[in-house]
Amino acid sequence: MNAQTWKWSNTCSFASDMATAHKLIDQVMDQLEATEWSSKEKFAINMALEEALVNAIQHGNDSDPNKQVHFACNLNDNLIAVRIEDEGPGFDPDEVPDPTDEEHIMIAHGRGVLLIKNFVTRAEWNEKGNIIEFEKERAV
Amino acid sequence: MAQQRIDIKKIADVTIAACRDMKLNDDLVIQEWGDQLLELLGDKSCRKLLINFEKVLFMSSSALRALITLNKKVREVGAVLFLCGIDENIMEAFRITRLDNVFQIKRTEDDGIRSFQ
Repeated sequence: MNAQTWKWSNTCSFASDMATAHKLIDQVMDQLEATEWSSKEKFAINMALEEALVNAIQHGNDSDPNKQVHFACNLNDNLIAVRIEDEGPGFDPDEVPDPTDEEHIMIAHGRGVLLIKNFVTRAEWNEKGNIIEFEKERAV
Repeated sequence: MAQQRIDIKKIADVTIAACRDMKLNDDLVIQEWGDQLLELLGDKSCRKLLINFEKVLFMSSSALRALITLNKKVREVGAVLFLCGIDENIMEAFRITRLDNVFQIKRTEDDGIRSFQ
């Protein structure tokens, strides 16, 4: 990530629980609202946070309350940068079947990664696949 | 006891299910919402189903998954399903996942009702 000066940051660890995740998302959305990000950008960031946290809690940590999710979010007027780490075995996002392929269009899973990649400016996973970092730039 | 997640009305032979929740991202909400929609198809008089999303401002991939499950049931019982009132941001999620090609989507409830005729 580029060197940035952040106006708001939140770094925390929490037990695998979507209720806590949703409170964190609400905090981020409140900050975006206060700094007047557009509806389209807020929706995109909400979607990326939702899908990345579901992946970490439900797929990575298997909803095990003894496993933690490590969350970091930094925000300034032009950029939001998020890092989410789970304590699961990781996965290879390139191995997830493309749910837009004709043969996979009706399968239940695999849309979260696709939505994250499309709604943010940059999304990267570490080699193990248990850490995602993503950024969304604000439209000029 | 499950909360009511949809408001149901009937216009001629079209069953209209209007989503009550602004956000479809909580597992329990999605489960109840999906179950209530599936339950509608258990009634043989419900073979033309229109789901109105005009109150919904956010839905996650879990909600999209519930819609896919519903669509399988729709095919199984020989029903017809239309969606309407989808917010432009949510529509983008349908486009990205190409589910806009799977579901028949109309802009308004009136458009949806007319589409069954």
